[in-house]
Amino acid sequence: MPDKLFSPKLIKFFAMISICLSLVFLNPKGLFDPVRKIFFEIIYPIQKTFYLASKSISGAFGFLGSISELKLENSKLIKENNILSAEIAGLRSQQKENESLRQQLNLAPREKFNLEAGLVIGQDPQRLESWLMIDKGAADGINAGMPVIAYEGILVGKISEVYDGNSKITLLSDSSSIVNAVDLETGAKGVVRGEYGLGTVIDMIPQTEIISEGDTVATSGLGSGMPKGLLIGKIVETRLSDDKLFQQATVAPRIKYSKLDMVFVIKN
Amino acid sequence: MMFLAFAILLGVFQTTVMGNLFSSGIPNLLLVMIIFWTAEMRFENTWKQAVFFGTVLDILQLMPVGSNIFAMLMVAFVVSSIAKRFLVAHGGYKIVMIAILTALGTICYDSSLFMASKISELTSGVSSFLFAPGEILAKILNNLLVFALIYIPLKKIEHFFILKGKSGEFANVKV
Repeated sequence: MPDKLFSPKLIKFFAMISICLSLVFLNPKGLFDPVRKIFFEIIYPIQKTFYLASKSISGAFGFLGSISELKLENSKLIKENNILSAEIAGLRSQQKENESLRQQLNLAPREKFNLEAGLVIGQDPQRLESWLMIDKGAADGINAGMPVIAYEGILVGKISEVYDGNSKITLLSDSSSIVNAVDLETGAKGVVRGEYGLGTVIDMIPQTEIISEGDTVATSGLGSGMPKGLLIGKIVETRLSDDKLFQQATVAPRIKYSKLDMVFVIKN
Repeated sequence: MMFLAFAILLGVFQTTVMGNLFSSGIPNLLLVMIIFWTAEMRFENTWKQAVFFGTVLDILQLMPVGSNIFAMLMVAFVVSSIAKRFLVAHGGYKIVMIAILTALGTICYDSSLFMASKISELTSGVSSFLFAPGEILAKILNNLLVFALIYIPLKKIEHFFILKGKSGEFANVKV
């Protein structure tokens, strides 16, 4: 019976579903950005308090959970300490060599940037290392596209959305993230892109270039707004692209993005 | 108005606290509440709450507006349809049934979010949600844990917001 099949309840349900899907379809045009902006302004104090409080609770629970492992870890550390003490002598001679290598790597020093420190107040709830929310926004001179680094000049991502008092950082591991990069050991250039929060990959490297596991990847400075020499990570696996035209490699980031508490936005 | 404030507070709690307390399979407090209320009171009485919760989550999770609303409505509809047939007949096993509905609701929610994300990808080119089958089991277990923890408070909230609304306040909420 057609009238029973399409009961008013079902019609109402399908109407609501259609409206929702239309909204989803229209959303990329920024239809709801003003609403979102006002919303974030209102909830910012609560959001910040909740996030910081839960971060401390999480840290405390982590500590309690680790107490049982402390004794075992302690004896292991004593053994390691003895071995390491013996190695220190050898390492001192390598210190000078390291300093020289650092200069060769040409990593960007923090002093040359105009940095704005931002406290992380939110992150991707799916834990896919897709985005972070910081407590600095347009009022602090933040603009979309600005690079974001962690300590020691390690690139984290780029500012993608700016509100008055906070901003969204799209992390390197997000699928929409693309950054021009270079293999510091060989000079091979490519693009680093995210893999749905599962990590980062350096791609589009011509087959004539050489890349190896353990090589350091940093920004190449090509493209607008991204300084040269920001550290991205180390190559852990190399392979050919699906179309066999280019080489690509998995890049292991130096830091775990979801554990970051503080980041720095490069404003110049 | 009071329910809106409650929904926003819960949404902020969900997006800030839950992510820090659970390392994987982050439970969804709002989803568990919708499943529980819908199992008890059917879609007709809870769709407004589903829309409110969905809107709050869409805004706070920076997802395309409509994605979570769609997913919440789908869950409410599916849970209501199943509960109508089974929950009455097996009244003695109500908690077990709601637990099963929580598991089914979790799968339905993630699948719906994934579908919405694919639709959004057509215009934006960016996927806002990744369906991770490996995470589903952890999500189900964590949602069940949350359900067990909030079962009693939920009954009180239900009386305050929904049953109270039947005779006044909530019935007048405009969506």
